[in-house]
Amino acid sequence: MYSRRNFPNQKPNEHVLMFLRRHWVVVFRIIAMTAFFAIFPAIIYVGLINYTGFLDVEAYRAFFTIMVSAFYLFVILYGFANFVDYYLDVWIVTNERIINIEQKGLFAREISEKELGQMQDITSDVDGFWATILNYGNVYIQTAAEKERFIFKEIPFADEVARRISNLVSEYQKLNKTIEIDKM
Amino acid sequence: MEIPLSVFLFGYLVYIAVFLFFSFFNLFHMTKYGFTSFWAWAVTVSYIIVTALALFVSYYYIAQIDWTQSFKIFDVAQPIY
Repeated sequence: MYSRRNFPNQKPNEHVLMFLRRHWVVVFRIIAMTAFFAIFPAIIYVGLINYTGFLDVEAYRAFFTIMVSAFYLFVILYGFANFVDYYLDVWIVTNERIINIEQKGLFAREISEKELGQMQDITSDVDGFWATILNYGNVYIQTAAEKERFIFKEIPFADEVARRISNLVSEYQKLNKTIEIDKM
Repeated sequence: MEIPLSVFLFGYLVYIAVFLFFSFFNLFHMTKYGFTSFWAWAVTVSYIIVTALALFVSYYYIAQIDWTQSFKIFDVAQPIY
């Protein structure tokens, strides 16, 4: 189990500065899609009962019952699986590093981390009508490693997060330089 | 052409097994990696309750059907038109 204050492999003097998930609009999208799918069988049922005699035949009614049940179970699972995917994608910024935790489908989970000193280029991207209105977007963080970069997807206040991480990286680098000079 | 209705019931039971398999893994991820918050538990418990309710309602209607009958494929359009 993780929490906003504690996570696995936490170092002794490390504390969480930012704990990020995607914007609430993602949850709204999941709920809206689930509700939209859930209406379909009801519309078909009303159509069949009012305009046809299809459901008067027991065999067809049995077939319809099974199909509706299977469809609703699919819709419930679709909603929950998407919520799990949303909920388990987390980006944690501490005073020492950035941790990227991503649930990729049902059987793949990726956890990567890099020290703040290894961050090079931090870019935010707010793209689209709703992203601009509701103030969410992506943050791209290029690390010192060749192709590797972190992407904070659809997080709230992307510009502010990018600015704060940039400041943290500067402070971290200054502090490390001071420590190195002190050691000499 | 006639298909015994029980074929559909068998297919439905296979579907339920697949559904429970995916549900198990989603719940497993949620309990193992899910962060401790009220909303995580509320959604997980709601999912279990709604699923149980859907399966119970399905069982209620499915239990009323005589599964020894046959499904006539070419007669499907007749009650519609």
